[in-house]
Amino acid sequence: MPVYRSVRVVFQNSTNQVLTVQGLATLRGQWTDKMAPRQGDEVPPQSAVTWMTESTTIGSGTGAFVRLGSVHGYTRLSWSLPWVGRFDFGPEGCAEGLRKEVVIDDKLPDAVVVFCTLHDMRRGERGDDC
Amino acid sequence: MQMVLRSMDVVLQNNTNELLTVESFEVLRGDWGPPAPPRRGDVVEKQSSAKWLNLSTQEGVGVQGFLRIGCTKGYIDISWNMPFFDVSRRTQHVSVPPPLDYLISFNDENIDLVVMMITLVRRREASETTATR
Repeated sequence: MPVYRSVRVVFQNSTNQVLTVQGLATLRGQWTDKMAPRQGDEVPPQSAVTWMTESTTIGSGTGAFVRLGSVHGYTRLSWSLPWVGRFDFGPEGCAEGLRKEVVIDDKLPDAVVVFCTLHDMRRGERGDDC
Repeated sequence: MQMVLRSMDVVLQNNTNELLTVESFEVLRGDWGPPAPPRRGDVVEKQSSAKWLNLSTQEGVGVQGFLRIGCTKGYIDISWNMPFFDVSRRTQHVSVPPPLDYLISFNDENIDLVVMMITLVRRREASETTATR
């Protein structure tokens, strides 16, 4: 079955905290085989993980969210790639003292890649990204 | 084997990075020909091409049909109509969503058996056009 839409999220934990997956769901489409987060999965400090969702249904895009817990609170990543329309990566939800940096590669509009890095906020920095 | 009296080859060259998905199609006159009729869900990969054939083997019947193809920017509609009598009254219509554009050309060396070539391209930004002049 062809994959019509897909989003690959590469998440880099550039903090010194362990992040724990504490909530996840697909809103459209499904997790790609072997690339789904699981409740309780850990993202160790200074490491990266990749998650991916896809749609194999004509007329349906793909979208999902992952909520990550840390000692400072919760960080939420969400994305939506509609069948027709612009890709959206939700900027909301960052734990206190952390900031997200997001790079979106949509050169292939049906197969978007997102590189999201979570950093410790530097002294005096404001968390505008979140 | 019946003789093909009228035919329209529709060649779509996808010069974009859009994955194109055939979502609906129909022949109003004539039949789909080889290699195969379109199927819902068929894809035209990025930077690749596809071809469909609408043909008529019946005296007095021309060819007419349409394709509707989806991509992330919207829908591409292609339709054609070539009557049996007075083939010079052939018409076609192509529409593409705004960020995309198309080029169209015909091979009508054999006026009864026409090839329509549609090339899907990314619309040039005004700044790009200026830069290349």
